[in-house]
Amino acid sequence: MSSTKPLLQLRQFLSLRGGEPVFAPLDLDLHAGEAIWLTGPNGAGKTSLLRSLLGLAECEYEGFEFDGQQLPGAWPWLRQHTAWVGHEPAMKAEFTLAENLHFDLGLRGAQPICSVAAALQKVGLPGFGELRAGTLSAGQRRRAALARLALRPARLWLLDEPLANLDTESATLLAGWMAEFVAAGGALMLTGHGQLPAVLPVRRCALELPTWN
Amino acid sequence: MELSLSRAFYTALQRDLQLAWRRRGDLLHPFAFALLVGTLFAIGVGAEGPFLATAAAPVAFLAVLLALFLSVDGLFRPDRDDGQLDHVLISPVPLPLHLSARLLAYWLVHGIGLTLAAPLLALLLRLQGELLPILLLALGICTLGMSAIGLVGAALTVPLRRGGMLLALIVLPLYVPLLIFGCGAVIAGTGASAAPLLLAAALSVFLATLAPFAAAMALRLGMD
Amino acid sequence: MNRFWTWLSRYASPPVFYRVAGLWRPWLGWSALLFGALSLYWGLFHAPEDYYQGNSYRIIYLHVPSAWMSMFAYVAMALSGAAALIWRTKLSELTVLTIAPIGAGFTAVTLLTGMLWGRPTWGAYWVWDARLTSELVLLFLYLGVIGLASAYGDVRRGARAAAVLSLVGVVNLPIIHFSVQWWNTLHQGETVRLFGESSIDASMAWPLLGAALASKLYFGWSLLGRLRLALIEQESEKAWVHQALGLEEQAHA
Repeated sequence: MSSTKPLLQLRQFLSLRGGEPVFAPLDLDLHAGEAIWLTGPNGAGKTSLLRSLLGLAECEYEGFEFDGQQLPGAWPWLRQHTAWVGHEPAMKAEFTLAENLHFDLGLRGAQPICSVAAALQKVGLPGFGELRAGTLSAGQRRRAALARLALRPARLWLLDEPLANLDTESATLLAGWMAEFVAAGGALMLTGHGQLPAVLPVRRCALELPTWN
Repeated sequence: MELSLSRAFYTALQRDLQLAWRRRGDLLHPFAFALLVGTLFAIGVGAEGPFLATAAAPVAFLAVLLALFLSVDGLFRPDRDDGQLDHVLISPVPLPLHLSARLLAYWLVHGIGLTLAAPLLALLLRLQGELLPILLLALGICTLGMSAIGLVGAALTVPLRRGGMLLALIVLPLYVPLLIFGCGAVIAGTGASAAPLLLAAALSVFLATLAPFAAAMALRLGMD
Repeated sequence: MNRFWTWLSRYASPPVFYRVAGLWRPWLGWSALLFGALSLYWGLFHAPEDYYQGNSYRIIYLHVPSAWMSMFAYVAMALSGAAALIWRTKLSELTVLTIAPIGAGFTAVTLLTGMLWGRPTWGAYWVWDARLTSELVLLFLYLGVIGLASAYGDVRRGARAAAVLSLVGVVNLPIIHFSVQWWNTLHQGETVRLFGESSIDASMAWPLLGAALASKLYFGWSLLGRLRLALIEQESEKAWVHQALGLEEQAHA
């Protein structure tokens, strides 16, 4: 990637909850081919930040650009090129993993770029496609939710605690996949606690609680 | 990336219908609830009284109306709880289109499903036999309008922890015209004019057209 | 047109609105009191007795203006709701919240006076008359808006939810009105109306118009007062609030 312009640029960015700022104003540049790990104490608004980047939660900012375009006008563009996996796996217990992933894409009116089997392979669940989501463990559901990242092209991944509930082996596998995505020119922003597997080089960004005056 | 709106609409419809089929056991609850309302009413007023004969049609109608209302809260809440609603909100597919598919699936499953309770209710409440077809038709039509109102009510209350009584306060007063036209058609009987049924149909279609837009506005309140 | 918008947005800014509303309020309040007292005095003591209903008809001087205002307030709430959803100004959101209880109050007065009038006329406190039934449904619509707004923890989001609901309600209101009228003719036929299509003598009509004017003025007085309070509460951390309150304290001292 030769462009020096960041993919995502935030200036004095604030997420709001009930009209009040959740964290101290944030300045942040995220370039293509770069991963940012959001850290901070509980309640510092890591999830709120990811959600408000997508327009799912209220925010205020002095500057907010995606791919050189100004928000809020560029929200459709941002959403189209961003993949989001939230804290909840967004899977119906009554559907198989294959059905869940198929519907997930179909609701966007899109076609998959690879087979569901291949996507499940990526997250270490080969051959799990015909199992009902309700029969899986929390960690397996989380991995299955991440499989949707493989089905749709995106330039930015926003992942809320993608490695929670995972054993070391799966965490390393997934972190390796994320590192591949970043190396191929993708941009990644993820949250989490504790240690990240070493295969994924990240830049840390600590959110601070807002100062009350 | 190409975006196919018809594909999005049919996927939403298929998903909701298939989910309802997988959870078909859950449909028994509102169905049984409707029969229960009819039973309690008959016990309350006395099975042999003349009142039961005149009240049979409205009571059957109300039993279905209340049973349908009970399932309204489930329109968006499960999707909000498991995070799927977020994916719908950030999807490039226009939200009202998605919600129309939702409404259609909801009406087909719950509206038509509960209308099928009417013959049993008619039996319990001793509705005159020739009125049953009108009752079925009126319910089939009016449940569409009720589902549309329910869609907006559910969208307005989904951010709240519990819908419950508040949802009743929002939704039930808006049912009044449908109740009047629907019951009016059945009470007027077989030989009467079709005006009330036509009015109910017009109103249902009107509500079903506008409701997805109002519900989309309500769901987006917390956004951008 | 452009000048109109800049004028409007100037008055929609909280500090300016707070000050201007404060200037208008006494005028609205005193004139509401004046018109209300005059027309009630004239209506209750000077207007002639009704040929059919005797003295009991005199409750129209409360009932009819309240009924008009109950509908007027709902439409006003829906209009400010539309403004709140389009422009997202704090003032229009708060207007939705403040109109709702005033409108519900007018609706309750309408129902209460209708019942008091029904006792001597119909022999029962409650008769399923088309107008009263519509008013009852309207009361439920108001309660739904108030309940929804207060269920949200965040005032502004609650106001926007209430705005959507009031728009849905205002679309349904004529349908409810029409259906109830149709239902009424189906079930009961014509009954004696408190305020029917029959002609009304000028000596009875003038105090009625006066009372209607008084109810409008009262609405404005109450709305501006509630809005001023809501603005102070919402913007309690802003400098202008401290300044405005400080100035007022000095003026009283």
